Amino acid sequence: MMSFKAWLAGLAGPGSPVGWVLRLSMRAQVALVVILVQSAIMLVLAFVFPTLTKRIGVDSAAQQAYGIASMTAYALAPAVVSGDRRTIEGALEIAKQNQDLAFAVVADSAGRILASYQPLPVPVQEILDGHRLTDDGMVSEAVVPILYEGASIGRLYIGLSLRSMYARILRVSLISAAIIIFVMVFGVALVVAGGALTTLPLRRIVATVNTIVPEGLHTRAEVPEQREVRLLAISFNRMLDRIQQQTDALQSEIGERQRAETALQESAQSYMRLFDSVTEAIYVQDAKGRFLNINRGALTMYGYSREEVIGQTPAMLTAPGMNDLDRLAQQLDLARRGLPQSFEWWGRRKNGEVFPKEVSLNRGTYFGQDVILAVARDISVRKKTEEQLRASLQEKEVLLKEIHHRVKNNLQVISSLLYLQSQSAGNEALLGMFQDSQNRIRSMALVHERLYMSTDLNRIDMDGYLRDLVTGLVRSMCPSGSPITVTTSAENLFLNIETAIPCGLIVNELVTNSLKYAFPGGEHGEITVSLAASVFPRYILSVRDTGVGLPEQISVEGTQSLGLHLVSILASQLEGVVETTRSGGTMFTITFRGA
Amino acid sequence: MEDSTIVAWEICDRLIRNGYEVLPPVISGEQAIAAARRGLPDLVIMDIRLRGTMDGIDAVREIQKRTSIPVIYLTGNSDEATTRRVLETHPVANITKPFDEHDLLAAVAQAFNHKSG
Repeated sequence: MMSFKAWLAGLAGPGSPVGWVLRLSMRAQVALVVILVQSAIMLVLAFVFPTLTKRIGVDSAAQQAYGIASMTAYALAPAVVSGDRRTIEGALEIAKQNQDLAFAVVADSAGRILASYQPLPVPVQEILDGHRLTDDGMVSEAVVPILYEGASIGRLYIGLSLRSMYARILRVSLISAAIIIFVMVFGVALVVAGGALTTLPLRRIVATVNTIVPEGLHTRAEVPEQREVRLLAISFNRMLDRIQQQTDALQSEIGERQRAETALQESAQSYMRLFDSVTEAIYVQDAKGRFLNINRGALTMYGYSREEVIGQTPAMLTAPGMNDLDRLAQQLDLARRGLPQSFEWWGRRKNGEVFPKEVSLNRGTYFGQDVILAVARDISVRKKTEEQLRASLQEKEVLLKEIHHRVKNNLQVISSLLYLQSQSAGNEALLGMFQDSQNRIRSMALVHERLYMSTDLNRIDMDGYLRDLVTGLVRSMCPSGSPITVTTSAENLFLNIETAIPCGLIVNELVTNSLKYAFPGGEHGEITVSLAASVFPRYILSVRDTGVGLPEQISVEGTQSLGLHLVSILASQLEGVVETTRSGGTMFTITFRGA
Repeated sequence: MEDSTIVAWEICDRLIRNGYEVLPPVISGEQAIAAARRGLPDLVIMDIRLRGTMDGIDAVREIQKRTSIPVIYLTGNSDEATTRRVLETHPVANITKPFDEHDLLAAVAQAFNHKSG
């Protein structure tokens, strides 16, 4: 069921007459109301006034007829008594004076007509029968008895014509209608003119409003005298003041916003230029790993267009089956927690080519959204170079080892030559010299042997080297066994070949001397060789025996002995200083610069 | 068997001076195999690097197919793979150069003791 409100809304709807009226101007609405009211009044007057006037006219005519009839009957009474027709007709003169007299009939009590006057052709019998006594709208009739001395001696029938009355009514109605029409027209004109006059200030305000658009908000409405409209104009002008203030503030804000927007656009353009100028691939990934944006570097790296990549996941850029995806998931998780991640990854280009890349993951924000910023660098060239370098290095290591091997073999050959030569030596002294030379060569060959066996081609483990060197010396010089105990210590000391060979030769000379001269009686004794680090880069080498001690006249500096002279020369080669202690045997301490 | 005839000469001299009989040294694996078949020595002292296509370990394997002559390797090759191959031929000793006479004679003595024992 339609509600009252809906009914009202329908009544005032756009297609309804009420709606049409509501959309009219105020002037038109007032004029319409005036027309409607006047029309209603006219309708009322058109229907009621003639009827009422007619009724009043008829009643008035009836009373007039009755009055004329009464007066005439009174005058007729003596004439009727006399029976003189002339007198009777003379008495009718009273009635005849009325211009509207339609008929006048005098009858005796028996109903005989005594006299009649009929300007209108009405049959007398009908008058007597009373047929015409009913009002037909044209004649008003009256019947009065003619009394004489209290007795009715006849009847007088008087009829008055209503034509003149109807003519008067019509005249009056026409005048009224003219007046009404005049009033209507005047009223409408008054409404229109008054409305125009009343709404003039309003229209001026409207005109002012219309000028605001072309002329600007500084325009103000003219303030008229009429109180209501004056207040309206003042309010309107105040509103304009307020609007102008607001507009000024708004324009200022718009200006600031435009500047901010321009700055933002420039910033965005700068960002995009920067983003695209980086040769590394940069990807912005959302929480689900989808690409929100990638830079030109990435497009170049993979051969895709930006449209092809946006919205996709890194799977499309990943070489299938070559990466640890579980590990990647962990690293993405760590990166999301703010721990930057860096790793190597196998990528795949659009053409299917697989290549290595270095990827770093960082947490970031992208237009307010938490994202992962991934930066990838194509390391194909670097990997290839690294591979080449590794291969080259390996080749060089192999070559270097081969060189050490050959040097060692050559030293072995030299040693063999000395041995073979020594077999033809004529005496022990000469044989000893050959032996010494072989030992010196051996001390050098051992360094190359160590380097050849070592994985580190730069450093020699001095602990093992000195142990092998000294053990070999003892076996060489005391083939049938020796009562002398030789100990070495150089734990965790590593020297390069330039230092190790002179160092080894020094030890060779000093231990040889001790074995030869410190224990002349074949007694038990000890030889201790130790190498220790001092203040970097200096080292302390000491060779100590518990033998008879170096004679006072022999010193390293002034010696004629080849062995001690070698010690001096080699020590100076190592920027070292030789100190000799003769207490409880002999101790040589060489502090040298090593590397 | 030694690629350097001079070093081989020294070894032979040291062995002879210590009372051993020595066949003339050869310089390739093929020669070593032939010499072993021909001379039937009691001990083979073998370098690993030899001239020709065959190395010392291959030559020993070939020799060991027909005889059970004990072997002493005397070599500068000491890398892991070579050492593993050397051990597969069950040598009496594996002496690295530069060697000293003591190590050499001890190994030879051990070989003969092993053989006689």
